[in-house]
Amino acid sequence: MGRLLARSFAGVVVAPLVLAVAYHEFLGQRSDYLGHYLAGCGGTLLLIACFLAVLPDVFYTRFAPLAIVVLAVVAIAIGGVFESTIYRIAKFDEVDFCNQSLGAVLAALGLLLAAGRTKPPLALSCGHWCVALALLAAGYHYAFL
Amino acid sequence: MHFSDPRWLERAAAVSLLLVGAALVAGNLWFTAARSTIPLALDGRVAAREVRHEKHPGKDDVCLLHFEDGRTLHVDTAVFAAVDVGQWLYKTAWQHSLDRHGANVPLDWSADARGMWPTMGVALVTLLGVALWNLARR
Repeated sequence: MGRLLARSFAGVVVAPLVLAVAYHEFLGQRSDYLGHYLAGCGGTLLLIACFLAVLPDVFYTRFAPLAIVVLAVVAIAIGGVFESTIYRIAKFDEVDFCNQSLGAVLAALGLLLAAGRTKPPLALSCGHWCVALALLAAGYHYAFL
Repeated sequence: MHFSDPRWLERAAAVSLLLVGAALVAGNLWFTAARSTIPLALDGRVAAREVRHEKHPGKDDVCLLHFEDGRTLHVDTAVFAAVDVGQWLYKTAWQHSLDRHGANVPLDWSADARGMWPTMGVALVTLLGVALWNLARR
């Protein structure tokens, strides 16, 4: 359990935060880049964590890694559709798309590390959902405010 | 190791995500660099200039150059300001200056492009770190 918590913390909290700090320090003049990255990270984390929570135990070990990759691709595609439609304020911004997709990939990698080979306890899944919602809220703040 | 072995599945997933992440890092670096026009070859006349506002007008404006051949380029503010409608622009790829009607306009990397390099460096290291931890799991 200790190792699971350590992997969870490192993959789902520390790794996304490290990159968020880099965006803030080196690209501080473009808060929208940080916003898109955080939103992509949070949205993907929420999507995958919810799916893993409902995935039946008997399928978990074999299908969790595949599900994480597939859902990351789905999240990137959803982000692409949003960037082409509701968030197409000036044009489809390739850099915004790359930033939010990078967030999606990092979230998926982090959750792959945290997922384990048996279904995590509900409390840990709830922790992942909380982190995801916090990242989404922070993403909205930096992108729009 | 069999394909249904959990370790193989985890490692395949980690490598796949790492490769996608690396491609996105490369994409970010390319798109921000291209807006300076430094990596691009240009040979055409500017038909129109256009500014489109984004979420933070004045900070993240989209500056577009429309060429007579139908090409449209998203460029940095400095490039946009140096160019006018009707001017013929010529440069070779990776040239750090722009020939504008015979006048030489120096080109430089934008703050976005300069900031993207260390940020994407951190991104690559972070992606690698998490991926390698995944790969190292028994």
